[in-house]
Amino acid sequence: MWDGEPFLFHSRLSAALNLKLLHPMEVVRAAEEAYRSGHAPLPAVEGFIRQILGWREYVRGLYHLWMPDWLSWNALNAHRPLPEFYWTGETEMRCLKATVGQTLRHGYAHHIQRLMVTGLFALLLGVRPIEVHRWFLAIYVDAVEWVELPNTLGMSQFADGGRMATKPYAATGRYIQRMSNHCASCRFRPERATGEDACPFTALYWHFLERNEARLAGNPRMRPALTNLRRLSPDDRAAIRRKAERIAQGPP
Amino acid sequence: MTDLAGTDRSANDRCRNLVLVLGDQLSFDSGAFDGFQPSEDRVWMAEVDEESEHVPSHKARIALFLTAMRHFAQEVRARGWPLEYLRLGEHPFPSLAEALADALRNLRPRRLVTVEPGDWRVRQALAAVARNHQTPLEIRPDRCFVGSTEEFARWAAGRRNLVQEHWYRQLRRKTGVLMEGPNPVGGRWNFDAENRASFGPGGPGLVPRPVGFPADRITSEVLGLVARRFEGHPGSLEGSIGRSRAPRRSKRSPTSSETVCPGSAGIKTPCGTASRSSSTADSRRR
Ligand SMILES: Cc1cc2nc3c(=O)[nH]c(=O)nc-3n(C[C@H](O)[C@H](O)[C@H](O)COP(=O)(O)OP(=O)(O)OC[C@H]3O[C@@H](n4cnc5c(N)ncnc54)[C@H](O)[C@@H]3O)c2cc1C
Ligand code: SF4
Repeated sequence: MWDGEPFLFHSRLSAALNLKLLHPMEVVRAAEEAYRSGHAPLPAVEGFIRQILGWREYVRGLYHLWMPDWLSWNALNAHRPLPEFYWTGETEMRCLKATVGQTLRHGYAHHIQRLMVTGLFALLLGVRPIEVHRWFLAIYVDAVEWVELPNTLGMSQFADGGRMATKPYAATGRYIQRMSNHCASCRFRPERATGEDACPFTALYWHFLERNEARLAGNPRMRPALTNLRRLSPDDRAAIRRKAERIAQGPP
Repeated sequence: MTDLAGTDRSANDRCRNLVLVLGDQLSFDSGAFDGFQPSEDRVWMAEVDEESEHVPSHKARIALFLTAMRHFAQEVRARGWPLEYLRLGEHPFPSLAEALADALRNLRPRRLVTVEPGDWRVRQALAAVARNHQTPLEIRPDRCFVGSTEEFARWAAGRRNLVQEHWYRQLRRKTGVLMEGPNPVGGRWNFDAENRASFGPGGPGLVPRPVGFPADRITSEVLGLVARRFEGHPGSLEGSIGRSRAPRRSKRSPTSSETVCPGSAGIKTPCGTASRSSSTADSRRR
């Protein structure tokens, strides 16, 4: 992610594929040809093909297998409303401002923005899955339910309790710091969970783990995160909880 | 004889298959058209508010679907196929179900044909309308995917965990993509580990500019329609303006005035004059 770069190196082919103006095999064969003719390296080509032949086909299969039940699952018992800024882009959080801003402007955000910015914030805050789903279905030009819903409710919000993803994509602001330049121009500090300049993602991350500790304890892939949670002192935990609850009352 | 012929004709006038094409099924290779006979069958498409309003859709999303549908309809007509196309604002039906019910009443097709809808809600609605009008509904597999829903269901049956990687490998084998005989090219299925790096402090460097296409008459009309009819909806239509083709340095602001369709770079259809479907249509026109 990079400030002012809404598209980066992404193909922006999803809408054409989803409206069936383009067949996935045309795209896949073109990418394979780019590798075979020496125009693109294998890891890049394999990674691209995997999104289409792998993820895209996989979520479509799951959708038809699990609908309509998927709509009613709320494994993490999340009940908050979606913050208003998802529809306006008015927030002090730089990464969200950039992602929602370009979404309103172009109807587009790339995968990491959807999963690790807008999706992540809703997950950590504990937004009702159906509201998150309605937003993602409304706001992207490539949104068609068979592909949007599994990505939102399964991959991003873990509302199906891990039927699709093996663990929730939960992370602190430090992930966003590593993957972008947004934090450098943000008034919050990605490494801080408490205090005036605490990054809301980071505070909410610990609160998310605390809220869901019992539900996630059986998941081996969550063990390192939960171990870190248990290392926090009771005082720290209380301070983080207070901070997170304040953020949830009115996200900055 | 005249009497009999008259009765016969009115029975024959009923169209055989009414082929319903949804806004996300815009392919002439679609199974919906298998065996299509212009003398007996008819294509049916409808723009309805419900599809933009059941969730408050981004203006650009609405515009994209509408312009793509209208371009497709143009191709259908160019082939000389009978088409019933309901334009937004020119019919009284708020939903697909109501518009379709009216079509079934008036056209009395022997059969309603479509390919698998990508939306469970739409599938339920179509099935209910067809049932209420005693019209058999034939739902055909969607060939615009590499694996079929049946294939996936078979794969899923009896598996405890449905792992993306495994389904992906099955489709690699099925298509032979990046395969050398039974083995993956390069000796590995998965290069995720090489694909996770961040940009680092230097940023992304040269970023290719999105390809842009000037809006043609159909697209311009749709943009006007959406701006008026869905004024209160989120998102802007102006975000599709800008950028020429040369790569540009990160940070410099875009110039020029071409229409870019953020979701469909490189595709000349919904935003462009030279639509992809027109070139395919040209080579296959009957
Ligand atoms: C919460 C959430 C919601 C999403 N909603 C949608 C949606 O409504 N419609 C949609 O098409 N994609 C959706 N995605 C998947 C993905 O983010 C988009 O397909 C991608 O950003 C489209 O941009 P692109 O064409 O530039 O993709 P690229 O990064 O260039 O990828 C190439 C192609 O791979 C396919 N692809 C990549 N990732 C996925 C994925 N996870 N699932 C399915 N296909 C994938 C797309 O067809 C895409 O065009 C969603 C992801 C998340 C996390
Ligand atoms: S500090 Fe937190 S809110 Fe600000 S940009 Fe970084 S991750 Fe986003």
